[in-house]
Amino acid sequence: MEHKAVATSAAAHPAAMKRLAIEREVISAMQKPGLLYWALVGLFATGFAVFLLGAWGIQIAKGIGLGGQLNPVGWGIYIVNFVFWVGIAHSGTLISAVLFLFRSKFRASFNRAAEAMTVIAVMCAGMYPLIHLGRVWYAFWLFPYPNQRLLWTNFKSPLEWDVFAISTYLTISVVFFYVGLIPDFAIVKRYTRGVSRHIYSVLSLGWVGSKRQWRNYNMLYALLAGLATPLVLSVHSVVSWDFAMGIVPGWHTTIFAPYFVAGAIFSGCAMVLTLCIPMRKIQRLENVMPIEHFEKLAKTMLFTSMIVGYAYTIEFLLAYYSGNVYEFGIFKDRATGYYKFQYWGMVFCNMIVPLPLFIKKLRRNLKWLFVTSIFVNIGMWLERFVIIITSLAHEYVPYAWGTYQPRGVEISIMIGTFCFFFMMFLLFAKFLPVVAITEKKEEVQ
Amino acid sequence: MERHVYASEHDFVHKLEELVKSGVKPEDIETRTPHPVHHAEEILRMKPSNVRLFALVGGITGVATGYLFPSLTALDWTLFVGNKPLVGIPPYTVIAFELMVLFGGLSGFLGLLVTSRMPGIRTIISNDEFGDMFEIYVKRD
Amino acid sequence: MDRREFLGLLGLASGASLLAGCDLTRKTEKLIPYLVPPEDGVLPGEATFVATSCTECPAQCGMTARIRDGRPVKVDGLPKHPINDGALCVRGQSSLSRLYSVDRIRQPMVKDAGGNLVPATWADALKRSADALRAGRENVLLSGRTTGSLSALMSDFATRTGVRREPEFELFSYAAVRAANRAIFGADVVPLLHPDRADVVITVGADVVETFGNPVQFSTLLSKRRGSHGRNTWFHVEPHASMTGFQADHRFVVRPGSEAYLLAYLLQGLSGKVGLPGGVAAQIASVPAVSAQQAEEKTGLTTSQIDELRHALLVAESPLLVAGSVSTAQESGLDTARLAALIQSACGMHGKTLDFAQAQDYSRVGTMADVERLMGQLDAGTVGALILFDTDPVAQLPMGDKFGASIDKAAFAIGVSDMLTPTMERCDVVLPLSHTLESWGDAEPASGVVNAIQPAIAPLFDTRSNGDVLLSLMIELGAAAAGTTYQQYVYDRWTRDLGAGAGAAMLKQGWGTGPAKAAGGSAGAAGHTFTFAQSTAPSGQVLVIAPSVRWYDGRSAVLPLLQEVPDPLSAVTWDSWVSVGMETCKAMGIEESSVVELRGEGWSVPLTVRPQPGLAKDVFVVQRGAANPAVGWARSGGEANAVVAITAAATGRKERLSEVSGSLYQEGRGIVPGTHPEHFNGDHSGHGEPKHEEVSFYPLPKYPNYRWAMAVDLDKCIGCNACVAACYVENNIPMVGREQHLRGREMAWIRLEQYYEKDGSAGHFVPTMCQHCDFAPCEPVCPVYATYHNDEGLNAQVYNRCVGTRYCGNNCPYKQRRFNYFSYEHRPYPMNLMTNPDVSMRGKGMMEKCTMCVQRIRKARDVAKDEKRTIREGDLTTACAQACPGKAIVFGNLLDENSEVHKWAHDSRSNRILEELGTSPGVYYLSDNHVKGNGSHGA
Repeated sequence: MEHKAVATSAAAHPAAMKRLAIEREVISAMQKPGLLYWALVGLFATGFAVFLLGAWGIQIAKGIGLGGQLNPVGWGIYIVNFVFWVGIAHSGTLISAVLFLFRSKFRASFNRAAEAMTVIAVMCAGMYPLIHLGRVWYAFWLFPYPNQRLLWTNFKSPLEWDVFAISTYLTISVVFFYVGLIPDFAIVKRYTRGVSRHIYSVLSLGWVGSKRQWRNYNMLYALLAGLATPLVLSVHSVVSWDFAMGIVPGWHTTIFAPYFVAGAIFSGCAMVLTLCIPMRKIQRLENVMPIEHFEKLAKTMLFTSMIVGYAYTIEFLLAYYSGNVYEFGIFKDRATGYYKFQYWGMVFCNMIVPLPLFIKKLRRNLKWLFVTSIFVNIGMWLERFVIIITSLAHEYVPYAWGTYQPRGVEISIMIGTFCFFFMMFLLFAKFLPVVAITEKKEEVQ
Repeated sequence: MERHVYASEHDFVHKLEELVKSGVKPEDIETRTPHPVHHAEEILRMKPSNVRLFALVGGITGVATGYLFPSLTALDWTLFVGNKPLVGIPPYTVIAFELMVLFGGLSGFLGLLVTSRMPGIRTIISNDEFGDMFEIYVKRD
Repeated sequence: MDRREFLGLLGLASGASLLAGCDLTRKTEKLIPYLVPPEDGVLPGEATFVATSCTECPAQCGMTARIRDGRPVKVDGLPKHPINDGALCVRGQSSLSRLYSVDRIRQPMVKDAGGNLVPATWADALKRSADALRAGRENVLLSGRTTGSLSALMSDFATRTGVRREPEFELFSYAAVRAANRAIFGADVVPLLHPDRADVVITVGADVVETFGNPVQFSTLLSKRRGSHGRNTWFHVEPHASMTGFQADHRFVVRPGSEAYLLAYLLQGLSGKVGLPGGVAAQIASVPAVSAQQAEEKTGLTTSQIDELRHALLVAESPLLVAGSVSTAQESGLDTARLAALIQSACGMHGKTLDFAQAQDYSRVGTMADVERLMGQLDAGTVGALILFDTDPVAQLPMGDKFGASIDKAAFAIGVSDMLTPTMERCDVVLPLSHTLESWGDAEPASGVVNAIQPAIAPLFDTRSNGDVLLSLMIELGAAAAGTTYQQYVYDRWTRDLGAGAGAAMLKQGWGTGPAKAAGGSAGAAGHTFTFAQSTAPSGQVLVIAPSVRWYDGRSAVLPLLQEVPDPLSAVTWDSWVSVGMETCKAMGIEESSVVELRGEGWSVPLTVRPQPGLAKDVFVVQRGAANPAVGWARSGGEANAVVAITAAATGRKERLSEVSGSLYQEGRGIVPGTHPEHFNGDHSGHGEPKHEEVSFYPLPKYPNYRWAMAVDLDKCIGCNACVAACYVENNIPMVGREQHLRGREMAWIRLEQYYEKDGSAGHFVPTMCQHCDFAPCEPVCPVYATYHNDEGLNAQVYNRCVGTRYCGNNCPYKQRRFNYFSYEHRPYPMNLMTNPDVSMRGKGMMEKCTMCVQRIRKARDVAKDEKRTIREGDLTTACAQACPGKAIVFGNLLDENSEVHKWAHDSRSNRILEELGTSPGVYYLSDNHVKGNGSHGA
């Protein structure tokens, strides 16, 4: 195509300068990584291979009994980690999709990192139901495929819902993440040469920013955001129903779905903070990630902390008021029994630690926020531990009570997933634009 | 074919308005923008994207599958669990919802590819780049 | 072309190419069509039954072995046997694992120059033995208790070879009881007890449902007076806490060593009774007077308790009183036994509730005095060859180590045993014994009843039966004709004693009845000086060494199955422990897992503490087989001491016990049917009519033909764990070992939950298994349909479909599902032969649980189908129900209104566990009458 330039405005226009600055800041974060970076990636990759793949291999060979699960407590920290990672994943989608629907400005600073976190966290989460299976080599039986006897799966089982919810969630998160990246890939393409250029070029699917592309793109993005929002709510509700559908006292309550969703947002906000605060510093993204946006995230965290705190309290009161000896037995045991440290640790981390965020100064203090977010991450892990383990340990029949303690292989695999998570996030931070460039540009007037 | 390049969104929109007022048919105007410009779409009187139809069809298929597939498989080989009804609407609603989202999202993405003619092999291969400027191409006879 | 056609063509094509590729002239074997069954009678898939006798303990119940593919895979009580009536205790059920034990001696062994036992041939071992027996000095034979033909053969052996036969050694020799019976009734026997004929049963120390006498017979007879009709009242008096005690209606805990005071006081109350035999009256007169105050003071019982006992004995029309076990195995034991015998005589129990005509013959069993005399001779070096025949005094005697040293003083020691026990390790030659199931022989569980013993399998190893070992020695010594077999010996004896042709009948029926021995009468023999008032009972801290329901006198502790099955009182499995009362724990500042050091005169043992509700202060209980301190023996009665003074000190160390109970208390929950606390929030109306429709959206399922169900009468259940052992064997349940028990992964499909009242006043024992709920919570949560409900009401588990999510296990409110955390299906030889081929082995990562013995249902269905009918009541029962000595479990079709289970389920006592959850279980529990009678017990 031959173009006849009719009019060209000055490239040095202030808006163009701003857009270029955004572009450069994000792209410069993707510059050739240093030795330290590769060392870290290598470290995490090794950790993933040894702690997760190695330990899992041994567990498959020897039997799931290498873990600490026992007769009353069939689910150990594998499932705790599953719920934990699903929870982490959720806030990614929420920050990205819900804030998109609300046209919230501070979204653009975090949405890419949050979406990446979602995809990686869902991968981490998705590993756990497999790791925890007694016969993982038959895991494909969980999917409804036409086998030789035409025996299908049990769609009434909450675990089957999980299969659908988690695989849908992973798929939609990946699509959402990828669709958001398409225009940015096209930008990155401009800054790269050689093989990388070809890769980004293919990934951009030939994006040029034509009117039709933008038109359809916007429609799809809005649709995906519209679909992802209820999906997030449904996925964590489904995860909560894994427990709430059970007859186990301490699990069998109707408040679980909203309680879990609030918990997911809470833990997700914390994880976004944990990741973005160092990333902002290391990759020098101070301009595209302004402090006000962190403050808003902190507010969300504080709010959800109070919802979770309310749930803890009301759960206890409901159990007490019910007069049901089994139900209250569980809660009494949580607070005073074998797992009391986990319980009070959870209360401290999730209800007490976030309270100082009422002070504006602390909300704007990134160090304070970072420390708080770490506490909340731990607290939310403990919350899942308390819900899952303590309920099973003290069920109806006192004869069948037992205590669970995680064992080496479980801890190892848990470390392995963290390695995987950080490895993937590091790779993301170097190879993909960590902030949505086109969206940031849109803010420029 | 004439090309206008602007650094500012304002100038770009202004030029578009001018062109349309001057009688250029919107179909003949092609734009390249670094980010979506909603005002420009109005000016060019663009129809709503067909992507949503794709998503709608996908979603409906998903819901139908989500109810029918579990029901039919349950009736095909009747296994009673917990003495619950073979076809249970509440549990299958979860499946239906998830499949609605899954099918809707995927077919929406397919819709994007189809309606935007992506992946555009030509643009991938050529050096036609997604630039940082607001560009207008006008097809004139 | 459909799939079948395709496969057919494929087969044809590949078969043809295979044929073409083979040289047909080579490697062809003659195939025999399976039209005529092979001569050995092995029909694949068909079980045959062999009647034999249990020999795990001296009670020797009639037993039947089920044989599949030439291997015994299950043992059960012989149906309609006059003694045990089809039931078998936990030890008997587990005795099959002795046959297949990996620890069995597999060939004769001789000591080499270095003093180690090394494998040898029979010829070598017998030659060495014979040489030693010929050496010149006096030879001695010490054996465990023998009955029937073996005893006769042993006498023949002794006379023909000139070996002196020592009185037999049994730790539980009933020496004091027999001495009393000899004196009062003129019969040196242990009479069988008949609680079914008694309206009041008083047991003093005697653990009648565990080891005393024939516990299986006692339990089966007792069960006739339990349940819904004609209940009698049972008082149990004991110094410690035993399972028997918790089964009684009233458990009176007395101070150790004070039983004689109580019995003397009770006896005084009877002195006015008319028609006392003359001699007895005189004896009663010689009993030192015990005042009511003295009785209270000494025993620690309350006035009302003693009065209740005295009153019950006075008004009873047909009472049964028996003293024994720990109450007679002490210094005042002989007095206790004699006082009990006097009461028996005064109340006319002889011939009514005490059967002297059908009694256990212990006349050849010696006392501890005999053992000590033998040790003296050994130490003096006068003994040449010592034959230790199927006995283990080194492990069982309180002076076992000394006895071991004495064995070394004999010129030569010949051991005969099935396992390398501590006694055998001291021997110069060890001749391996075949298991009873590999042997010919007979046994006399009671005088006049002879059980046949016939092989159910050829010997697995190079072993010989006990009779053949004796005959081999005789042949080697030239005291018997070459080629004589014990089988022939036994046959000849049956023909002589039971009449011509009795052999065949014996083998078919499994037992025969011969002439009963003289019943003995009242004798009023030589007077006796009662010394209980002079002797000092142990005071302060006291150790009670109690018989074990699992290990008897310790001999069965070598069986892994009897380690895997928990102790019914404490739920301890693989460990040794000391039971300590709650008060003592508090006083000593010890708790579960604390290690305490028990010290006596010249001995000390460290043991881990298991708190035991209902145990008196300062009383420590150790079970036989768990520890064997050198506590000496009672000179008066001649039994090994079971009650001794000790000092216990906390060591500060802790060691986890492998036990399987999460809590000894109900913790305010109404788990035990009939014990719902008053404030309990839930439906506990306590009757079997389900009211499901009122609370559920869903109607109860309609089952077309059958609804398999079980009912358990807790009034009849004695908490013995026989059902648990039976289930282990029937269903190939893996024995996972101590390590896995410590991690809470026991695999039992049926278990005995024990719950105590917080004050220890009562203990409840509830056998629980998969409840096969109509609305099973485990089923809908499985994503792959590995568990579902079949149209016969069974909660089915499809092992091969299971992927191991373990959600079903979490969602079972009864916690009855068991997960294979590791691969347990491979058993070491010969344990692998014990596998029941009717039940598939479960692999790693699968969930399993009680199936209500679905393999038996299937078999019964096949039989019924061949006969063109449906399955009827009585066609089958489950392994647990079959084993139960208390006949407390029934299994059947709930839809059949004439079935026993239907009747039980609709009994006024019928309950279901956790019914308020709406699970509608298929297992009904009939609450304990005793518990109901005392109102609600909520701990």
